[in-house]
Amino acid sequence: MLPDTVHKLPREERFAYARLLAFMTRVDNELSVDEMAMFEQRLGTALLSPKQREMIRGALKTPPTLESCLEGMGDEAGRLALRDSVLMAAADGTVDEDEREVLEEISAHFGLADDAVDRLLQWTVDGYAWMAAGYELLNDLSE
Amino acid sequence: MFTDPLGDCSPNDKITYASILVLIASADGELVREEFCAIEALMGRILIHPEVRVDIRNLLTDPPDMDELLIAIDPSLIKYALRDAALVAAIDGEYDELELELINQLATAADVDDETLKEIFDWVNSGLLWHNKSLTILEI
Repeated sequence: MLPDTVHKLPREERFAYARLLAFMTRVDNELSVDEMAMFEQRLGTALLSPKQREMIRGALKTPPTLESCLEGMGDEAGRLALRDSVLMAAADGTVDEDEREVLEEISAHFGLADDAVDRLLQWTVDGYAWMAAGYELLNDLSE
Repeated sequence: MFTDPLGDCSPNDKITYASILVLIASADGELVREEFCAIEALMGRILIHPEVRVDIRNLLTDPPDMDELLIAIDPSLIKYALRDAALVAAIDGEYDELELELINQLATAADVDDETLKEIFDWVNSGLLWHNKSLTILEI
């Protein structure tokens, strides 16, 4: 929901970005409402065509392999997908071992620093705190 | 994680909420891609049905009237619409005068005073800073 560069990517890169997120939603074999909400939020910023959205939602039911997602994917799309995969993985409150492993694999694939996933996790914690602050600010108002 | 009540509100309230955001985005007469992305993301976040989103997108060419929207929406949700309206309005880098007028109208309807409204704008700014940090981590 904040200004981003995903929408500036070529259409096929935006599709690849969304496909990797679809893969990520199924890593722990659970798709919580929170993860789904984050997935749909990120999908919104990718400005895909209705047909592409349909294909991506189909990928939630039959997830692609990680290898097929990463194959030919550009650096910027891949890095943004990594960041948003971290956001999604953490949406249910925990990042399990399988998810962590995949995140590290994606990070290594795009040549990011060894501590990139840790830093993105901290960034995610900060972001959820920011979102909570926005809620608290309003919650403090009388109904 | 998302304790925000917008996710649990009625389908009609979700539509009205999204329509308010459309109105804000189209207030200055030009809709930039970033604003469109923000609306799409916020509609996705509260899981508005994909077919309903099509109807909401169509409002961009024929924006609704704020007074009617404020009558239609559950009054307890106006403050959330106000918060997200501030986000959408800030997305292209500046608050347009017409956007601010509508935001003030929302603030009045939600009984939000000037001081709290300022806090909401500050919250938006801190979110923009937070988001930009990710690009440094990603080396983009």
